[in-house]
Amino acid sequence: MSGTQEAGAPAPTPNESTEDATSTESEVPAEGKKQIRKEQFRVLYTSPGFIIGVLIVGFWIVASVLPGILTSFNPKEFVEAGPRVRPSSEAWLGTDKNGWDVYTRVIYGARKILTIAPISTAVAIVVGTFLGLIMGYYKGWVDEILSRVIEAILSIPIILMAIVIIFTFGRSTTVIIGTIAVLFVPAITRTIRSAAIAESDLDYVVSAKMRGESGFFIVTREILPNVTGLVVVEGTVRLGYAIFTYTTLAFLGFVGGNITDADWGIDVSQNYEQIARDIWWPSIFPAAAIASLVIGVNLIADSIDKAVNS
Amino acid sequence: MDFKRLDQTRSSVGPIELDLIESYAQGKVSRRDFVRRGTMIGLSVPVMGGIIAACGGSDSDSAPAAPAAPAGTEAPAAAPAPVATEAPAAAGGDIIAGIQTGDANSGLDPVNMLDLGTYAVLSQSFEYLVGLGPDGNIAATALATEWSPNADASQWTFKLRPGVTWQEGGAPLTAADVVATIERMVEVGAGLAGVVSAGGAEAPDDLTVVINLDSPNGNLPVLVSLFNPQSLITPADYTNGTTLSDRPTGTGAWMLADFDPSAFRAKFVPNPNWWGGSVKLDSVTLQGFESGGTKVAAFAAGEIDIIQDFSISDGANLLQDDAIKVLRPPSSNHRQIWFNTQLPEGGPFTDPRVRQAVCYAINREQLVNTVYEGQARIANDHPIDPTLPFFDEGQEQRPYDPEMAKQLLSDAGYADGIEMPIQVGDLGEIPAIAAIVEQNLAAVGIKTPVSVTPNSDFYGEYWCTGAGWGSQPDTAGPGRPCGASAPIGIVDYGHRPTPDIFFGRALATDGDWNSSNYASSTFDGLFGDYQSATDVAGQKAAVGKIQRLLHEDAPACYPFFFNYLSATSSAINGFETTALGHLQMQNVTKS
Repeated sequence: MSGTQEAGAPAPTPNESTEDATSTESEVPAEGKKQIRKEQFRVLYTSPGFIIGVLIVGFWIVASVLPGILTSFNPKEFVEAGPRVRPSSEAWLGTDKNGWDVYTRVIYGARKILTIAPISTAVAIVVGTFLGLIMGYYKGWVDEILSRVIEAILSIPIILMAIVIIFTFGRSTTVIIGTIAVLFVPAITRTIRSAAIAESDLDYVVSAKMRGESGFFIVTREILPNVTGLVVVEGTVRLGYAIFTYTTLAFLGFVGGNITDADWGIDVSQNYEQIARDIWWPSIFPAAAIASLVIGVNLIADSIDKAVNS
Repeated sequence: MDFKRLDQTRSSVGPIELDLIESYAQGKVSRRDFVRRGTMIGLSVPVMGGIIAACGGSDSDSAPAAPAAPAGTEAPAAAPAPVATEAPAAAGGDIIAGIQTGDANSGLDPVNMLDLGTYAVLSQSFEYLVGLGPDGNIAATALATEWSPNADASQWTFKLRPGVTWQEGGAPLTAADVVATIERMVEVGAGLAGVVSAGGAEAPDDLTVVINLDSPNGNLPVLVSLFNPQSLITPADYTNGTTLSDRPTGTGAWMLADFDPSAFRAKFVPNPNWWGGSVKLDSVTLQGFESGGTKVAAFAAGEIDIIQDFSISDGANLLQDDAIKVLRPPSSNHRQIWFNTQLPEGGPFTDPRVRQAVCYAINREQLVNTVYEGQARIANDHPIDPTLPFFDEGQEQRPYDPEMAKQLLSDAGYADGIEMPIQVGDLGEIPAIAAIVEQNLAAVGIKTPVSVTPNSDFYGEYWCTGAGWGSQPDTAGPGRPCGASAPIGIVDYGHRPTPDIFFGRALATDGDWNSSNYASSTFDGLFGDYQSATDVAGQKAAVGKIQRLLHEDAPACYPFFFNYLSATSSAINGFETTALGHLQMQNVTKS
C-alpha cells in the first residue's frame, strides 16, 4: 500500500492558504480540491463492499452500545434450557457448558473488542504518524536511529513481543491497549515515513522552508494534510489487525480481567475443546463473530483505499 | 464361629492387630473395612482369610459405611475393582499412553514432582515400598513384602523383597537405599514432615527397615505407598534433584530407553531382570498432552491405546463407546476453594462467618450436574471421603442456602457485599467451576471476578506463595506457611486413600500446602489424635471432631468429590490405574 501511495504522491491536494498554493507544483484550486473530495466520497458510498462493511460493523456497534435491545438474557445468566443445549428456539445459538446463552454472550462480547481495538489503533496511528512524519521530514541521523529501532522491533515475532510486554507489565486493559499499539507503531511509522519522504522533496515543502517556517509547522500543517488519506487507510487496515491481535491474545489467556465476562476470544478458548464432543456452537459462533467483524472492517478499509486512490 | 482358630491368631499378633480382630469378631467393623485396615497394619492375606473364615465366612459385608457412594466408584474388597479382565495373553506389542504433560521445571525428579504426568513416568522405572492391591487399596505388591507396627504404632518395621536389583549395575536393593530415600523425603517434606525426623529410619539388616516416628501413626504405610507419589524408592546415592533422565535406573519392570523433555515423551523397554518376572509388551511409550481435549481426540482416533485421565467435559462421549473400557479407580479427588484465613489482615475472608457464607452460597448440586455431568458426589466441606471406615456419618450436610449466607455476611458487617478476584489455574474444569461459583456468590453479594493464570505459574503466584518460592515477597512465617496466598482461590487435590496428606499438608499449621494459612491448635491436636489412634473407633472419634471443626472454621469449602476417569481401548488387557495417575503396565497385554 505504501508503494502505491508513493507512486501516487505527485498528486497531492495541498490544503494550505492561497499564498502556499502559488508555490505548489501540482496546483489545484480550492474548488478543484473540493471536487476531488466529493468524487472520492461518491466512489466510496456507491461501493458495495463499503455498504456491506458498514452494515456488519454497524450491527456490532449497536450490539456493543445497546446489547439489551438485541437480547433479553444476561451473559452470565443460567438460562432455563440448561447447559450444552444445541441451537434451538429456546437458545438461538445454543448454550455453553456453564448453561449460558451463546447468542447473548456473542452480543455482549462485542463491547470489549470494540473498545480496545479502536483505542489501541488510534494510539498506534497517532504515535506512528508522528514518528513517520518526523523521520520522513528530517531524515539524517534522526531517521537512521529510529529506523534501526523500528527494524529491531519488527524483527521480533508479534506474539512473542506481546508476551514479553504483557508479562513485564501485567495483564490489565491499559497494558493490552498499549501492547497492541506498540505492536502496530513500527509498521505505521514505516508507511507514513515513506510517504513523508516523497512529500518533503516536493516544491511546496521547499518553499515553506524558504519562507522560514518551523519544522513543526511544516510537518503538521504542510505534509500531514497531504498524507491524511494514507493515514485513514492505514488506520482502518490496522483496526482489522487490532481486532485479530486482541482476540488472539484473549484466546491465549493473556488479557487478564474476568474470564467469565463475555469476550469472543476467551469464549472460543474456553469452549473449543468441546468440538471433539460435537458441541461446536459455543466456540464456532464467537469465532464467526470475530471473522465477521474483521471482514467488515477490511471491506471498509479496501473501499476507502480505492476511493482515496481514485 | 471357630473360637479355637480365632484364639490361635489372637495369641500370635500385637495389640493393634488384636484390637482390629476383636472389632471384627464383635461385628463393629464390616469385612470390607477389616480387610482394608488389616492390610494397612500389615496383616497378611492368609491371616485375614483365616480370621474371616473363623468368624463365619461370608457375613454381611455388603453394607459399607458409606451412604453416598455412587455405583462403580467402589467395589467390595475382594473383587478386583479397577482391573481390566484378563484375556489370552498375546506376547509382544508396543503401547502408547497419553498422559498429562509434566512440569518442565522440576523435570523427572522423584522426590520433588507435583503432577500426574511425572508420577506416571517415574513409577514405570521406580517402585514404592507399598504397592497397589486388587481392591484399589494398598497391598504388599511392591518392594516391601510385609510390615508391622509396634504396640503404639510409633515404630514400623518393613521387610524388603529379596532378589530385587537395580537396573543400573545390577546391585541388589538394600535397606540402605530405602533409608536414604526416606531421609531425602524428610529433607524436602514430601508428606513425611512432622511424621519422621532426620535419622528416624534405620537399617538393622539388608532387608529390614525400621522407621521411628515422631509420634504414633496408624497410617504410616500409606505415606510410603504409591498414594504418596513422592515416596518412590531411589538408590542410596541419588540426591535431591537427581532426575531419571540424568540417571536412568530403578527396580521396576520398565527401563527408560528415551526421554524427550520438549515433547514430554518417554519410551520404556522391559527390564529383563525384574523381580516380578517378564512383562508381555515390547515397549511402552508415555506421551504428554498439554490439553485434555487433544488427548481425548488422540485416544478417540486410536492414536493412543491408553488415556491416563480425562475430564467428563472433554470425554463424555467415551463413556458411551462400547469399544472403550472406562476405568474408575476409587477416588477422593476434589477441588478445594481455599481462603487465606490470615492475610490481608482485616480482610473479609479472615472472618469465619464470611467463609461459612461462601460455603452456604455454593450450589453443589449445580456444580456436580453442570461441570461433572453427574460424575461426582456432594461433599461436606472437609476432605474425608464418606467411604472411609472412620468417616462420621452423623454430621449434617451443609445445605445450599443463599439466605443463610446473606445473614452471615450481614452479621459479619459485609451486608453491602465484597469484591475480591478468585484465583484459579488453567487446569481442566477448574475455570468452569470458578465461573459457576462466581454466579453463586454474586447472588449473595460477593463479587469474585475469575482470574485465570497458566497452571505452570499458578502455584507460585497465588497458591502457596510467599513461602520462599514463587514471585511474591516472603511473607511466610511460623503459623503462616503460605503467607501471601490469594484471599480466595481454587486448587486441585488428587486421590489419597486416607486423609493424612490432606490434613498434614493442606490444613495443619505450617503444612507445606496450607494455602489457607489455617493455624488451629485444636485441629493440630485432633490430627495428632487421629494419627496416633490405632483402631477405627479412635480414628472415628478424632475424625468426627475434625469434620465438625472444619465445618465451623471453614478454612476451605470442599463442595464435591469427583470420579477419576481413565480408559483403554478394547485391545488392552490387564491394565490397572490409580486416581493419582499411576499406570500399572506390568501385566498389560495387547491383542
